[in-house]
Amino acid sequence: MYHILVCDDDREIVEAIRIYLSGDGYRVTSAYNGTEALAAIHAETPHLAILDIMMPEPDGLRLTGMLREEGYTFPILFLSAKAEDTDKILGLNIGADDYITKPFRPLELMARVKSALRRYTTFGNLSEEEKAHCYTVGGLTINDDTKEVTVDGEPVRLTPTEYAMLLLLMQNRGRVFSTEQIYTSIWNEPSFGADNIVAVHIRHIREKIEINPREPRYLKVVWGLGYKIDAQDQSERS
Amino acid sequence: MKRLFYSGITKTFLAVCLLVSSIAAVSYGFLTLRAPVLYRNAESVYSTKRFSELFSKYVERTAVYVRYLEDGYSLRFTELDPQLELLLEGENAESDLENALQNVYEPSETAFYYYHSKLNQEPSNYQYYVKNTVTGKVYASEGFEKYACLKSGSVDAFLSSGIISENLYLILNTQNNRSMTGGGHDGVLNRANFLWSIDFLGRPLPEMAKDMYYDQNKYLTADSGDELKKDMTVLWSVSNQYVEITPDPELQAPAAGDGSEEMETLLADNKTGSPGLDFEETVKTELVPAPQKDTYLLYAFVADDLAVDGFSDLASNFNQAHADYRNCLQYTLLFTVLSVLLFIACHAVSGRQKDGTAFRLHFYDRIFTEFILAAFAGLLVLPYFLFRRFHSFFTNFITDYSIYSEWIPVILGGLTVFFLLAALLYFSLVRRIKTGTLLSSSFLGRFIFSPLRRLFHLIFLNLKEFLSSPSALWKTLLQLTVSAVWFLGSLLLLLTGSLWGLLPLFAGTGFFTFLCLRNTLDHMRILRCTEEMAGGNLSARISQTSMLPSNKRLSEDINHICDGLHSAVEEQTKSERMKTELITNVSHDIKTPLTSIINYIELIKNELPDEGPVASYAETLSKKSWRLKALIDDLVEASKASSGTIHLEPIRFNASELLRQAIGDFEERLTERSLTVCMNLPENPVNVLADGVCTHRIIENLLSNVCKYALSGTRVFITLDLPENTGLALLTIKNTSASALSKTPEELMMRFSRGDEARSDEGSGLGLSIAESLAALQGGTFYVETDGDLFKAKLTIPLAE
Repeated sequence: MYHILVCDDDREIVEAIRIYLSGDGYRVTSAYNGTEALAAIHAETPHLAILDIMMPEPDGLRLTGMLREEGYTFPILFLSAKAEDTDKILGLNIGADDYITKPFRPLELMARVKSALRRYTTFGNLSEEEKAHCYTVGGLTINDDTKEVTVDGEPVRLTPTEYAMLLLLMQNRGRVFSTEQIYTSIWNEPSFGADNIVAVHIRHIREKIEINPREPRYLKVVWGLGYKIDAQDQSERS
Repeated sequence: MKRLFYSGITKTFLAVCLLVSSIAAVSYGFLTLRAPVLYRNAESVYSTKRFSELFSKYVERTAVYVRYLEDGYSLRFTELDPQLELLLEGENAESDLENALQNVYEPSETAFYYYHSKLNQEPSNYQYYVKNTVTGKVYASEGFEKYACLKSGSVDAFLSSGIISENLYLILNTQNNRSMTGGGHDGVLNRANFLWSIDFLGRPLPEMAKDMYYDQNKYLTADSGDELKKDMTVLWSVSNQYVEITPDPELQAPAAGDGSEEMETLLADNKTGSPGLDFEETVKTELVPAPQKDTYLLYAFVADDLAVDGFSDLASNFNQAHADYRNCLQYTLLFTVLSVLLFIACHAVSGRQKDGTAFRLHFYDRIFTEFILAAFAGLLVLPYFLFRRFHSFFTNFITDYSIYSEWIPVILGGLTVFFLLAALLYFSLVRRIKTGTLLSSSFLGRFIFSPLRRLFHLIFLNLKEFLSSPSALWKTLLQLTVSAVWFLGSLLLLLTGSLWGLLPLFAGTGFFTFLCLRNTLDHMRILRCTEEMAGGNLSARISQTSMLPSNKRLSEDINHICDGLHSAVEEQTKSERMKTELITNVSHDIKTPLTSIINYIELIKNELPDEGPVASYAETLSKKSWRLKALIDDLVEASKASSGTIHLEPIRFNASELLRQAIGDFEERLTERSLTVCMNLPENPVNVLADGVCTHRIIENLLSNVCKYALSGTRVFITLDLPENTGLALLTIKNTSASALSKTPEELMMRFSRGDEARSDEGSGLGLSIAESLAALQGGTFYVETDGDLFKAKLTIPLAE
C-alpha cells in the first residue's frame, strides 16, 4: 500500500483528492501548508507527494527544492492553477515529475499518480540484455524483439503501422521527422504531399500512450516541422 | 403653372409676340408721326407750308408773267432753250435756269415762255386774275372765266362774292431788293405782322443768315386764323423804281437820291372788308403815300377737282396722312403699351430653366460681353446713320404716299431683322446680368479683373496673417531695417570712393549666406527626424546642437510633442499589460474553486446510479464547469494576445506541413460532422517565418470553428497561395455555414461574438479575435469574408525569404 502526501491550502481539494486516492487503495496524508507538509514528510517519507504551488510558507516550488536538497527522491506532482508554459517548465526543472493544471479531471490525476509510482518503483529494474533491443523514454518502453510497447509497465496495443512509426521515432530520440519523411520510411514510397494520414496515425498513437493526448509527455509535435519523441522534462520548447 | 410659364413654347410665343408688337408699334408710330411733318398744325392742305410755298411761287410767277405781257411779249414759235424742256417736266425739278430766273423780271424770250408754260397749263388748278387798276387791262388764266361763271354767274360777281377772302401780300424793299410774301414772322395776316415785315425788310441782314432768311421768309402764307379756304386773294404792289414796268419813264421814283429808306406799299382794299384787316387806312397814315403809278389788282386761287397736278397730289398726300394720323394714333398707343408689357414679361422668363429656378445660358451668351455690347450699340446708332445718309430720300418718302406704299415690305423686313438682332443681343445681356456672368464672361473680366482680384486676395490673406502675429511682424521689420541700413551704409562708403565699403558688403553677404545655409541644414535635420517620428519611432529626438534660435524652439516643441506621445503610448501599453495581469490573476482565483466544483461533481456522479434524472443533472453540471474552464482559458489568451505579452519565437517552418498536422488532429471531428476537406497546397514547401505554436493556435481555432459551424455533409476548402510581390503566404479556409450569416465580417471579428447566438454550449466567441491578434503579432493579417452562406477566413503569414 503506497503512501501519498497531498498538500493544498484548499481543504476541499485535498479532501476530494483524498477520497479518490483512498478509493484506489492508497494511504493518504493531508497537509494544508508547506510547513505541515515538510513535517509530515520528515515524520514519514511518502511514496509520492502531490503539492500545490501557490500555498503558504513555503510554497510548492521552494518545498520541492528543499526536499530534493535533503535527498528525497520520491516523485512529486505539482498541482497548480498556473497554466502558462513558463510555470510548467520552472516546476519541472526544479525537480517535479509532473505538472497538473487546475482544474483537472480526477481520473487523469489518478492515472498520472499511477504512472509516476510505476516509474518510481520499476525504473532501472530491467536487465542489460533485455535492453539490447529496448528503447525507453521516461515510462515509455518499446521492445523490438517482442514487439511489445509498455507505458509505465502497462502494455499498449498498437497496429503494425503505428508500431513502425513509434519505433522510428524512438530509435531516433529527439530527432524531428517530418510527415513526409515518416511516410517515405514507413510506406517506402514518395508521399506527394497533401496527405494527412501520418498526422492521423500520430494522433492515434498518442491516444494510446499518453494520459492526456492534448498535453503529450512523449510523442510531441513540432508545428510546421514534424514529430519527435522526447521525455517530458526535456521541456516542450527546448 | 410655373413649368408652363417657363416652358420653351411660352418663351417662343412671348418672343414672337414682342417682335410683332414692336414692329407694329414702330410702323404705326411712323404713320402717326408722318402727318405732322406734312401739315404742321394745319387742319387742311391749304394751310400747310408746302401748299403755301407752292402757291406763293405761282403768285410770284404770275407777277413776273404779267410784267412780260405789259411789256408786250407774246407767245411766238421760236427755238426754245433745251434746258427749258427739262424744267417743264416737273415742279420739283431744280435747274440752273429756275434759280437764275428767281422770279425776277429779265427780258428774255425763254423766260417768258417758261412762265407762260407754267401758268397756263391746261388744265390747272391754279387760277389767276390780274387787273391793272390804271389802264384797266385784265390778265386771267384760261379757265378762270369759266370757273367764275360756274361758281357765281359772272366774273365780277365771283370776285365780289367773298369766296376769295384771304389776303396775301408781297413786299419789296426797293433799296436792298429784299422781298417778303405772306404772313411775316408768325404767318398771321394782321397789322402787327404787316408792320413787322416792313421793318424786317429794312433791317441790315447778318451775312451768315442771309440765305437762311430768304429761304425761311420768301414764301409765307397768309393765315387769318379763320377756317382756311382753298381760295386766296393776292394783293400785289411793286415800286416803280424796282419793277421798271411803268410805261412812263417820268414816273420812276428818284428815291435813291436822298438815301433815305423808301418803302412803298400799296394795299388794295380787300373788297369784302374782312374784319380786323383794315390795312389801307392804317398804313396810309403811317407811311408816306406812294406817288401815282401803275397798280395791279391780283386775284389767285387754287380750285379743287379741276385737274391732276402738283396741287392735287399735295392734297391727296395730305388727306392720306391726316387719315393715318387719326387712325393710327390709337394703334400706336396700344402696341406701344403691349410691347412694354411683353418686354417686361420677356425679362422675367429670359434664361430661366423649366422649373423656373436655375438659369441656362446659350452658346452665344459665352461670347465676350464687349462684342455683344459693341454690336448692340452699333445696332442702336445704325438707324441714325441710315437717316443721315438717306435724308433727302426720307423727306420725299414721308411726303409722297405712293413711294411710301412701295417701300412698306422693305421697311417691315428691315424692322424685323433690326428687332430680332436687337432682342438677341439685349436678352443675352439680360441673361448675363441674371446669372451674374456679365463681368466674368467679358474679356476684361476674364483676363484682367479676375486675375487681379485673385492676386489682391492672395496678398490680402498673407498680409492679414502677417499682421495677426505682431512678434513676427516686428521681427521681420527689424531684419529688413538692419539689412537695409547695412546695405545703404556700404553703398555710401563705396560712393564716397572708399574701397573699404566692399568689406561690410562682403561681410554682410557672407553672414547672410551662412544664415541661409544653417537654416537649410536645420530644416533638413528637423524634417528627417519628424519623418522618423511619423513612421512610428517615438523615441527619435531632434538634436538641437548649433541650431538657429528660431529652429531650436521649433525642434524643442516637436520633441515635447513626441515626448507626450511617447509617454501616452507607454501608458497605454502599461495599462494593457496590467489588464492582462489582472485577468490572469483573476483566472487563477477562479480556477481554484472550479477545481473543487469539478472534483465534487465527479464524486457525486460516482455515488449516483448511471441512469436517472439526477445523474443527467450532474452530467450537465460537469459539462458546464468544463466549459467555464475553457472560457477562462480563452479569455486569458485573448487578453495576452491583444496586449502582446505572449512570448513569440519565430522560426522557419513549412506551412504546408503545419496544415497537414493540424488537419490530421481534426480528422475525427471533421469525419464526425461529415465534412470533407479539399486541400490545395503548393507542391514546394512553403517556408514561413513565424511562431509554430502560435500559428497552430490560429489554425486550430479556425478548424474548430469549421467543426462547430459548418453545414454537415459539405466540403471545406483549404488553400495555401503565394500572392506575388507581397512576401506573404495566404491561407484561405472556406466553408458553408450551417446557419445564415446575419452578421457582417466586422461584427464576427469582435470579441464574444459568435456566428450563432443560440448555440451557447460551444465556443467562447473569442476564437476569431484571438486569431486576429496572434496573426498581427507575428507580422501577418487575419480577416474573414462572407458571401451568402459562404464563410471565408484568410490568414497571411510572412514568408521566410
